[in-house]
Amino acid sequence: MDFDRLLFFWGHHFVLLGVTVSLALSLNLINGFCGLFSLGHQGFWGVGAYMTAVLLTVLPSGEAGLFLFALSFPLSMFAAALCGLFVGVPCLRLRGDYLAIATLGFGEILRNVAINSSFLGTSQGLSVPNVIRTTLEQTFGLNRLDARRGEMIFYMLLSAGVAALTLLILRNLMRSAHGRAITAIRDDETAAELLGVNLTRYKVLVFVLGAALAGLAGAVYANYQRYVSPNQFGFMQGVTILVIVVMGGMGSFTGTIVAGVLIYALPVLLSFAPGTWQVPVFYDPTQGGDGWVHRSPKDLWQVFFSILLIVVVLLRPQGIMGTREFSLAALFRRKPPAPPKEAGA
Amino acid sequence: MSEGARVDRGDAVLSARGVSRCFGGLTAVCDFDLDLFAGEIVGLIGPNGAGKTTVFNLLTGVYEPTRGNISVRGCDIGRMKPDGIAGLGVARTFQNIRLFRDMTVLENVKVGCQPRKRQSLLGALVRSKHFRAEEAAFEREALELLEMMGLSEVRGVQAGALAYGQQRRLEIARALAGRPKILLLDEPAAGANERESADLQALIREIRARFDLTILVIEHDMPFVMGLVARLLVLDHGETIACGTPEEVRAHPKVIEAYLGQEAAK
Repeated sequence: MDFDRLLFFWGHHFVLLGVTVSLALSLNLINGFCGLFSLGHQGFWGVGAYMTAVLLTVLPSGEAGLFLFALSFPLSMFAAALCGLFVGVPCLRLRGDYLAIATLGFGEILRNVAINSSFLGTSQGLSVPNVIRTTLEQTFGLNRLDARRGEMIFYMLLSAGVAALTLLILRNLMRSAHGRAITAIRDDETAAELLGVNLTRYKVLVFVLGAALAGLAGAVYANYQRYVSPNQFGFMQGVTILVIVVMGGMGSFTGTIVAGVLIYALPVLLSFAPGTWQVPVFYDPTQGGDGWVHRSPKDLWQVFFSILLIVVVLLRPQGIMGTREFSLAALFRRKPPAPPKEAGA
Repeated sequence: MSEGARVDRGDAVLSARGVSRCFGGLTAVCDFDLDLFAGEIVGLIGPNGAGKTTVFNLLTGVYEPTRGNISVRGCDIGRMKPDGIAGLGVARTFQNIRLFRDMTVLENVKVGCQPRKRQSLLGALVRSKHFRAEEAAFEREALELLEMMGLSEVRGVQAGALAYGQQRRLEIARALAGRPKILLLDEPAAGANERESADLQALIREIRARFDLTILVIEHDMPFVMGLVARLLVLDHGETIACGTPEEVRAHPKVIEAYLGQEAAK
């Protein structure tokens, strides 16, 4: 019994953390490694989630349920990648702030399309059938509780697997000549182009790949939550992902993972604060008593979030990891010798 | 044009015909003609604002010519983008150094390998055999280039932390990593002392021989450029005012007036 409570509580957060980290990793490719400032990542995530929802609700499931479930992942990636292409090709003529505004607009347009189309369930959203639990109950004949346990463990593995796959794809990409071209674009676009980097090709590649991976995270999310609605993919969700990328370090995958865990865990851990803990928040003499209004730390996670962000920005403006990657091997390696100064220079 | 400077050595690897570039009402380069023949080193000199760097920008596709044609190894580059021209074997360095400052020295040189990369995206993602072979080759060649430029010691250092002279040599190494046929050097000896510019001269001759290069060099340092090149073009206010061997150019009245001053004429 106690085991079940632990499993369902922490399992739930583990799955959502995996989705958040996957999203932040793919956004780091676009914003951190290529230096394209996108604010529309939640849009690609939403496209993937909605694609999954539509696929699993519109088509008759039943026997084909598991097949459709498996199909939802590549199809969501494809749908999001297609959106990435449609948005990327015209928008990548824009730079800096203008690109940020255009991608922000794209995210809001998608959300409004979902709100206003009855096919996508308007603001009510769409429910997604629980393929995994149905399969476990009907095909494997598990009882209800075992099926729920099995489902949670399955999604924990799936979410971790998708995050690991995203990390592997992005790491392998960045450790290749293609990845060097992408970093070169961020550091000096003109110099990169003169060294033979096709700017359009790589920017579109980064956008499309980032969108596809966000779509994959969206498929995991929709299948797990079994419900999609426009407000799950709003601007604030996009900002949270962006904050993870900035805080972890633009150009560091391991930094993104560290910051993702920190930012995801903060409200969860604060929710454990005992009800007797009260923090004085502001002074209002009309309220009686000593005039101080108290709040529980549970309700203050956004304040802690802001403080954390300010501390990181003040102490490490380049993010927790900067552009470095954490590796066990590097911990045991000695520091390289300082560069010898050139004579006469 | 002087006869001595225009010996026919077959087809030019790079030729510009009547190239002009205007910015609004200003003509930065006017009716520029140039033929580069395989294996030669040609100098491009002129006072500040004469249009030398604009010529480089035209030859590498940063600017499109307002008028005229440029062809590289038989290929018209009029509407090509810089990356396409780099693919034809044209590489350059920059007057105001443009290294990737946050990358290490070695990574900078490896970025220079871009025009030669054949690895597919999928190959990179699954670490295919061909991919690993190509990456190993790039790494080996980048290290060789650093060795040659005397930068082996600092290969793991961030490029922005290097001394000025080292940064200039790193730019040359990065340009060479793409195995270009034509190398455009924009003031390689800027900020160098006498001994350093002598070393640089030797280095430029060495890379020309070793990589079978044709080199066009912009330089302010007169003894440096006079000792290095077989022939020179002199630009002033965007117009080519003289062309010929260093001796011819030195004696040309228009050049003396525009650029070298009375002392050089002695």
